[in-house]
Amino acid sequence: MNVNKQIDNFLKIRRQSLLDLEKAVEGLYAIGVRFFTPSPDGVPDISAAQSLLPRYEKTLEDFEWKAIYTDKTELDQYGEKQSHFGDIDMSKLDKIQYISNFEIDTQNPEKRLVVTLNADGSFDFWNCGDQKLKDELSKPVEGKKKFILFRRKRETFTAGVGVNLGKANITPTGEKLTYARYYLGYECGKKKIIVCLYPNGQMAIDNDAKEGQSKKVSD
Amino acid sequence: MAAGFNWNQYNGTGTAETSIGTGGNLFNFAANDASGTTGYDTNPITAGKNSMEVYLKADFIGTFNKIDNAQFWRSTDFSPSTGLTLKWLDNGTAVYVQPTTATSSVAGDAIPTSDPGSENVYFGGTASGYITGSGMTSYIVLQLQTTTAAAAGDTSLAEFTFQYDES
Repeated sequence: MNVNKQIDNFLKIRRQSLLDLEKAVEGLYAIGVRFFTPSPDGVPDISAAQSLLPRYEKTLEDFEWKAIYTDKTELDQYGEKQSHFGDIDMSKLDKIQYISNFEIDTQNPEKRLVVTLNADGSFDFWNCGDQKLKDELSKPVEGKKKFILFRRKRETFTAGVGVNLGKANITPTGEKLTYARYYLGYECGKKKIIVCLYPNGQMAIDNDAKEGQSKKVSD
Repeated sequence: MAAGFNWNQYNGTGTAETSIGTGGNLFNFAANDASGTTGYDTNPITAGKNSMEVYLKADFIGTFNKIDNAQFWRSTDFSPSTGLTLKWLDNGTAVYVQPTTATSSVAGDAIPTSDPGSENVYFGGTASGYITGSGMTSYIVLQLQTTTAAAAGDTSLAEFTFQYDES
């Protein structure tokens, strides 16, 4: 047995593994995946490469919505009381905004990303959205609209297995990865427009994001 | 906070419910009927046999209008994975049956290994079902089936993803 060969081989594996780990973590950060490691006091330790605002630690949302009514009053998702989509009074809705809990590097005084859906069906984009998206969605659409607003969230967990006398290689932490996308749009007759807001600041039209009717169940 | 969920695992004849957490290593496939991660080392699966079936539910709490479109898949496999096949039941089930190590008559479908693209875990056993208040998914049923080719020794953890829509 050439022990020096063995050591060199494991050193190579270790070095490559560290490089692969760094590359994977950077890639996940760039997409907007969040890592959570619970601390003893129950407060999540959030690792993130992006410039998350302190408010993120309170709400754990990359984007929060705000409904602005025709009488200039507002309903914040995380106002004095937490609200959900069903709390929005559609009869007097003037616009719905998604506002980021992170900032981008810009000369603009407002450094957060703001996407606004106006009651007339037009969208406004601040600090985000490419020109094609703006051109496509800047015009009003006539007709009665059914607004769409939801969050699509994914979370991960792990499971091990022991075969014969083997044992699972259990990680010592309770690390959890989460990833959320935010959707805003409307249906108007046969027309449907849904904009997806990604946690890395990218935007895209995703009209197939929500299909069909669902049924309420008791459980 | 908006909606959040906790995983519950179910064991025994009487649907004993155990909260096993929200993330990290939540359970291990083993030969005994128990929740969570402990005890698997003294109850390993013999190569060529099956694990005990695993019954899970995602238990939602918090403030929300509607939760629907639940999707579940295995993002990463065990490594090494030779001789290991993970089965589950498409869409889950509303019916609990005491877990067994016999080849599952419930978990007979191949586990998705990528984003299924549409709902594959029901609420209340109903296609396109949803909840508007605290509630759970149908049971997600898993069983690890092995062959004698399964190697004894350490494996890496398999990573699972659960996704849902919330308004």
